[in-house]
Amino acid sequence: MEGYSFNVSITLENNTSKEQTVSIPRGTIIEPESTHLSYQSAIISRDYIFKLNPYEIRSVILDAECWNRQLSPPKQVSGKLTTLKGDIKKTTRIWDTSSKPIKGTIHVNPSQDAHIFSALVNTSPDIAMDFLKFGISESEINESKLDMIITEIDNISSLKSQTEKNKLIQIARDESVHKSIKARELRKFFIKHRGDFEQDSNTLQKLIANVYGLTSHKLAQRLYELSNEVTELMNDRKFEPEDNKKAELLKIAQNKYLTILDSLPILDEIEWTE
Amino acid sequence: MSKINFQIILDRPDDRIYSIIKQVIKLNRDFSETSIEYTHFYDYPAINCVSYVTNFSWPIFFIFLKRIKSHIEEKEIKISQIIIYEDSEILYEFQNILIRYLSELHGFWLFNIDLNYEQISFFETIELQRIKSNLFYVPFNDENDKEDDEFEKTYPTENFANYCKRINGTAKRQSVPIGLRIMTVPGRSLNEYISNGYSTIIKNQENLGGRSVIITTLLQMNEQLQLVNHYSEKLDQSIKINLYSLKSMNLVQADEDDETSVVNLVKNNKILISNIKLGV
Repeated sequence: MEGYSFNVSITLENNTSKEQTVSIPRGTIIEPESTHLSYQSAIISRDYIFKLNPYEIRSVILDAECWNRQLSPPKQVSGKLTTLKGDIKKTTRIWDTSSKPIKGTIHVNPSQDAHIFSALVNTSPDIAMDFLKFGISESEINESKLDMIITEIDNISSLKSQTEKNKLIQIARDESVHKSIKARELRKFFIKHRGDFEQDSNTLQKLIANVYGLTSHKLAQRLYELSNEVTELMNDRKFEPEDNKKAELLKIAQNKYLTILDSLPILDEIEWTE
Repeated sequence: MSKINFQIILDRPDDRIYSIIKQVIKLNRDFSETSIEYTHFYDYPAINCVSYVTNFSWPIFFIFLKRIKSHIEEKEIKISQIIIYEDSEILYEFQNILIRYLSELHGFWLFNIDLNYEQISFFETIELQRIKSNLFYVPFNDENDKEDDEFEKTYPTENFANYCKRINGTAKRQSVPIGLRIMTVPGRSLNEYISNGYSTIIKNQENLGGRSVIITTLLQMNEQLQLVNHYSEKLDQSIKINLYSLKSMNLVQADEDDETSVVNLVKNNKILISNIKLGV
């Protein structure tokens, strides 16, 4: 098994007059005291359940693995129970889990404007540029203003740098453009101009994660949960050997995606989108 | 309507190229009238495309080509050259001559194209070079196209703390996988950022921790574990760091509804814990 294994001892005391069931689930993290930060934290490697009698004091030894590959292995180092668990429900590869951020992590600058268009520029800049052009072509902006805006957009040679992305966001902030790039227009854009389900659902998933992450708004929460369900279904589908089951999973995922698309305009109701 | 030919030269043939280019065409309505066919340039596999464009513009065309290039290379297929040309017969006539240059340099080649010098400023920004009278070259310059991950100078203030609260979630509201790109301010310690950024998780409960594991996990995911030696010092220089949310760090908070969880029992004072030793 990957990782360095060691034991953790802990003394439990039932402070009540009743029998207590105590569970210490797999993944619970016990860290060294702050005076010993250079030592590895421990992640409990299996589930434990104890029953303590009233006022009983008991020492237990727990199997653990190290969470930090490059820190020093602890020997009798004082520790602290944490409120945190490592997400190792589906893996035994502890070091892979603790050394890299989760796949799909979205990087954000603190100054990112919490508007849906800014979130799209941050997560899918090329699509944001196309959406902007779509939005303004469908709007009622007069022709000379339209030409000016299109020229500004076309002068952005690449969207790899944050500076270039900010230019695009700045163009979108123009009063005459702003109302053409709301969530309801984004929905129209996806219906009219996109068609690759996997790519589109992935784009929306990242966008919604960005929006929900920045606002923690309930309206975005439900969409975020749905988009995660689509991702999970598509992952399950990859490993499904039976064709008819594969097709079933795809159908469910596509239906959920359509629900997300239909509900996208909800995001316009969040105050910050104005 | 303008007609523009271009040929993408690959290091190896691949059946996926056609659909990849089709996808990019879908995203670029200016180039919706583009035909694609497999071909060869000298001995190399290539894709030949012909686009009919209503309002042709070199900047937009180069963006279109760069998108095709990046979509293809995402699939780990290497593009060695992209040749833009006017007439296919003349192109094939000069294949033997061209191949000498193509083997030394990798980029966009404009062969026998009547360039519009009114757009000279654009050509200057893309470093257009004249190789021969009718042959121009623009390097791919992939290093300059690398993502500029700008980290923002951020103070560990209350606003910053509120921002971090949202991305980290709570035991009942899930955290979102986000990394905040920050640059610390000289004279502030990493500990201040951690304390502000993860305040809802690092509570002041005597028996329960979290600070150490967050600091070490964060530093190891940023490949800056050496900073563990200086985490409480007021640093002279700024540090660029991604402040990852709990979800990003593959960490979750203990389930508040689990009445048997040792964490909840300790919070409710039903269970006392002591003498925790790591490495026994």
